[in-house]
Amino acid sequence: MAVDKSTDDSAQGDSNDANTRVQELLKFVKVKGKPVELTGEIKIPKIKPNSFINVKPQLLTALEPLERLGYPVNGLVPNWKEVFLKKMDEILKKYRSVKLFLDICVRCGACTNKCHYFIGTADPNNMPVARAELMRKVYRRYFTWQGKLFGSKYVNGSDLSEELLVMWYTYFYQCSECRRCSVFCPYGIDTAEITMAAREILNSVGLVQKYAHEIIDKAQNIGNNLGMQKNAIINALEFVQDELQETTEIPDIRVPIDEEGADVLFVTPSADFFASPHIESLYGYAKVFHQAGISWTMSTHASEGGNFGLFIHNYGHMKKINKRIWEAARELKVKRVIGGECGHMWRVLSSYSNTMFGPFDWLDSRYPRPQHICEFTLDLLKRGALKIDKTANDEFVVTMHDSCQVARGLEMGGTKYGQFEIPRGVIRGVCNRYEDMPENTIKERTFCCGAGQGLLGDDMIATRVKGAIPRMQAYSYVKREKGVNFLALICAICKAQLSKMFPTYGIPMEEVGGIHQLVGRAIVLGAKEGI
Amino acid sequence: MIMRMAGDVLFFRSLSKGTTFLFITGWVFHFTFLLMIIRHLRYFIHPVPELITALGGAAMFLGGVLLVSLILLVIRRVLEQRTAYVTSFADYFVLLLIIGIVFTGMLMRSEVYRPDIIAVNRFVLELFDIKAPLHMLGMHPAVAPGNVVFMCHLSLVCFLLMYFPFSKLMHSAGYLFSPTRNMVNNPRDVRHVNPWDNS
Repeated sequence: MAVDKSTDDSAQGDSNDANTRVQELLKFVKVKGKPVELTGEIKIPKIKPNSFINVKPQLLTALEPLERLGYPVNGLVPNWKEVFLKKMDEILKKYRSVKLFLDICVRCGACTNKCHYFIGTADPNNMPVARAELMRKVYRRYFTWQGKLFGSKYVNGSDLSEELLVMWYTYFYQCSECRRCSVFCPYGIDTAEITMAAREILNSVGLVQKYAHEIIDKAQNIGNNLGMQKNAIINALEFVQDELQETTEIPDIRVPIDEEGADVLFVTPSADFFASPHIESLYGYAKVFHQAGISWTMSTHASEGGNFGLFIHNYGHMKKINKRIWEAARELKVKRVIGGECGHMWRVLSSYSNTMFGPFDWLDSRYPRPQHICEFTLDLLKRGALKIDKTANDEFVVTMHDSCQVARGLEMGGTKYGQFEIPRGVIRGVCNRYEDMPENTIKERTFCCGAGQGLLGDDMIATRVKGAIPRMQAYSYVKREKGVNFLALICAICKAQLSKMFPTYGIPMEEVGGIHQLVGRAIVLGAKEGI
Repeated sequence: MIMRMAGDVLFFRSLSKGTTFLFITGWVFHFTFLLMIIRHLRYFIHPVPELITALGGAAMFLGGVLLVSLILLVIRRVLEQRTAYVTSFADYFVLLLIIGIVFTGMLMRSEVYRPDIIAVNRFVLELFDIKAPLHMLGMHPAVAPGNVVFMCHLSLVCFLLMYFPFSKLMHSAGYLFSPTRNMVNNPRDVRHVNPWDNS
């Protein structure tokens, strides 16, 4: 499909104007998100056009990261229309999914009330179909013969303009790619794919979002999302080890770093090293490994599990970040790779690794694929290899938030619906009291925490507050009805988001935590029985 | 995979999870429409299979259901605020077109507008005759029954068939290519290398 020549005439002359205009339109305004009253009910709002049109994330302007990522450094490129269509053409050819999803929608409306951002903001452009329609309009105009022949008017299309770019930037960064809408779509249209494509197209013309892309840059070049250098990681982990030894009074409990010949390479989001409540789970992992007597190690080379490369259709970024894990695995001569509590990390690690760097015949043949820490722990629990004192968690009535990327990713542990049952199995194994949230907010229909896939930045606080509404309502419902007082999570982003949203909505922050936080509390160290 | 797709094609499995009203009306529409198409095969197949003859008794009823479901779908598009927001002209157009077809079709069942069924049959068979294009070239086209309602019905159907490949109606074929549906869930066991991945 050729680029329509007639469109880029005007672009050359007023190139700087276009950039200034877009920069003006995209100027970051701090918007506060107001939390709603928690009634326990998820209400579908009446639409309020443009109610969230002013909420845009900050642009990345630092030169070095942009150069390293290979994106334009001076804002919008002068011939942006040309670049835009070329990139879109490339993506449509590469990803059959995107092209098909643009083609087969019938606008039936089944997805319109399924997005947490729509429920939160009531902005009609946050309905999945309308969001995708932003791209479909361009697709119909420039990539179908009817559009090329008759122009945008007759195909319900849209010509490229600076305003359209701004719309794209606004609304494709109000999608957390959680794929809830795709569950309900009769054709399985996955809006996440469209969002990813749109973000990469925006990147190619020079509109790069700050939060996610800074992280992609750091993860590629330094090794983790937080940009911690090697000695900082070692310091942090040594601190964790000291803390563990002090609190458990067991001198040989360890958090090994870069130890060659260990059985297990353990990768986890770098937030687990010190953020709260993430670190509690790290204590939990260490206790499980210690008690199981399995030698393990973390790596300073692959010090990050998370892979923000997934969030944009730029395969190279995702691959580069994922590569570090497999480099570390070979270097440290491990037999298995286990991933910690993180949503999209699990999806990339388990579903995409084989495609990118497989096959893993050099790993232990019993564990030829990366495992999730919950699989590992549940297996130990079932074999009775861990001594558990469930009463340690008796103060909690626990519920679980299925992380979107885990729940709607591939199954865990080789069993159908393992991604729902295995984490719940672990919780039930260490707690006496467990209650599920309402059926339409968990498992494959789970709501996103409201900050996934690159929207966790502080500049996005308004969308975060609104996007958390369905989860907060569901939680407050079980809190009221069943006395639940602990929300167990298996994702670093969910932990960061909800530990901030809980206080915003007037619930104590301590009610959020990882599953391995519970495991860590219940595990009885020292006594090794039943192996 | 086959089960998943069959569940979606035959029973709109995914749709049933979310939107009950749309699921019921949508499914009733598609199902009765399918029955109608099967019923119309009697004009093309000889001898007429028993199944089709059996359908004849319920034809009026099915037509009525079909019409009602279509009208409900239009009303839903207008009244449901969220759907109305994303609806474009093309969406109404297809619905109205099919309503037109069903309406004229049902009209022909009444005594007043009933065309000569045998003439219709002969006409259709002549059209589908392998030599039909030759007859056309030779300026001896098949003779159509002189019934206005029938002509409307037929023209609308022809228009629908012409419009079909360029419209959203291609969702019927497109579905079969949907990657979230037709791919087997095995990337961890089988390695699928991206053909364009050279890095």
